[in-house]
Amino acid sequence: MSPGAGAVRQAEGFLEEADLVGPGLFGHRYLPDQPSGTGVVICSPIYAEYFKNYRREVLLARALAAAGAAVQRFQYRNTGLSDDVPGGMTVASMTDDADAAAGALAERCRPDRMILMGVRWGGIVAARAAVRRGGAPLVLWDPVIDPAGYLADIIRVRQVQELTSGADKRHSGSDLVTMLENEGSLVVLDYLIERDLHRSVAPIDVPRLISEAASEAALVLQVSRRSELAEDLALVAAGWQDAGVEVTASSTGHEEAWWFEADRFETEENKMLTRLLIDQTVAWVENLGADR
Amino acid sequence: MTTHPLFFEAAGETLFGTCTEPDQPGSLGVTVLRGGGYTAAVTRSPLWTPLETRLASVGVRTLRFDYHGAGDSTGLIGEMGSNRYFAADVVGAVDSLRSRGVSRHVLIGQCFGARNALAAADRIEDLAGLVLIAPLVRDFDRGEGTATRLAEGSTLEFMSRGVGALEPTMLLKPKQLARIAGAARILARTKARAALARIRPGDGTPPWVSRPFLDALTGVIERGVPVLFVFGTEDGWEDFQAALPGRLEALVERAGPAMQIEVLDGKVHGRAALPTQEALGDLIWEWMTASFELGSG
Repeated sequence: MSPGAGAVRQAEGFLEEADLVGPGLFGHRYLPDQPSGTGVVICSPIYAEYFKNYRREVLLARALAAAGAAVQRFQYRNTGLSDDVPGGMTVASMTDDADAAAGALAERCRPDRMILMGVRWGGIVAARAAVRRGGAPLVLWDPVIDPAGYLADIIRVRQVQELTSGADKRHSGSDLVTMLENEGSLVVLDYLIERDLHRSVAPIDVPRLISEAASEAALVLQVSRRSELAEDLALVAAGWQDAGVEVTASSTGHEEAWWFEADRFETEENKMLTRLLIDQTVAWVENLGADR
Repeated sequence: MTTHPLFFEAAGETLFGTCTEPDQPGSLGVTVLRGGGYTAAVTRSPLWTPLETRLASVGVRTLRFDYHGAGDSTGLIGEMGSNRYFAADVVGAVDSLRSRGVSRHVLIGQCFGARNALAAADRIEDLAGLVLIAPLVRDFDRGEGTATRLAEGSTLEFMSRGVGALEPTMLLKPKQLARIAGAARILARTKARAALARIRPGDGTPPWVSRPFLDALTGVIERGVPVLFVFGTEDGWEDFQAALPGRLEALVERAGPAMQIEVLDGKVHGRAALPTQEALGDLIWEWMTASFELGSG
């Protein structure tokens, strides 16, 4: 990826730019004509979840910019149009990327307040970037609280893939974990799951990290049909409340098949889940700005 | 070689793409057309990224972009199907490359993208070649391929497999009602097409073969534009073979060496296996180097 910005003024009242955010780091930036003083950095999920959420993040960024927030989206190094990172992608390199994205946005539009937002695995990244900044308002969509459970879910996707494709040899979950450990990577659908990324998160106490990352306010939206928050998420929310963070936590009541295509195509803009996530997030960010 | 982002206008929307520019660009440019619903522009693809680098090494520019309503482009997708094309998006992308000095255009389309390439072909005067990867030879809306195939057979089997046993309680459930209505719509449309085909003068073409597909391909062949078809054994090859009798077979004969047809193992679109994607990239590269005089970049 080389510098050479694409830029366009959108009718909703903001400039949208696509360019390098920092060395080797590609992203999209949204600069409102009438800034509210709030900046938002969006840390995306990974693998299939990245593509599943891609359009939703574009729509969110545009909605936030139309409401006056400056927004930075970016692609982690080793993915998309960003450069490779020596030694491979780890949670540390992803945090560096989020930090660089926040720094670039701050330099460009000098917001009064910087919100870190993370989706799924991106929640861990956003929380680490927030900690580096001494805490920040956090927005989390369906964050990964248990990385081991997350990897186990991915392994199950590979097993489903083997089952439905009629593969000659079907592997048990423990076989696949051993393959990942021994070979360093595992292909699931056509995504390369890399051992070192998952090893890099193992020493991190994620619930504690997220609890300590939020300052001032936090919004967490669980993507689930269940109306009550999952136990681990409820504990994180309680931790925030104890620390004096103003918490808004709820379940959307809608599920997402993060790794699989829906039976029937539906325009992202028309999906109830997408509308709920975006509307609640934009309203929360606007309220946070209004409370200043 | 550099890769840079760009926005361009197409039919009132702003589309986003990435352009790979060789150090010494020639006059040939490639526009990559992904299947429907994919985020195309910013992906690191095991197929497209290495192919773009190879093409840049011989002076060929490539443009990958998101259709309107997808990825970073503006707009709403609305209805999408193999009989509702995004030709205006393709023309906008080609215009964008043309403004950068490209005067001969190759369109490489995958699945729905292949149909978009065919639909736009007659609006691109300087079209130099077409690569059609698993193009759909039937017309149906996205997600209705299997149902449409079933509807071409027995009505009873279609209803039993598509809807199940009809029960009065279904009428009280909105989701079930929508399912029945959807199945009825597909059935009516498919049977109407078949009936229409029966009253037309027969040339041996199966009634389910898309006329827009055949018409567009006829135009391309008449212009002498070279075409590479690539199918997977699991996606599209069976349909293509079944579609051959009649007009399609005549087109293949008429095109002669200007039409090359290749078949790879497995699936060649969607989430194809990594070795298949590599083989597909090699195939397109070999066809490009055999079909065009490419520079050293």
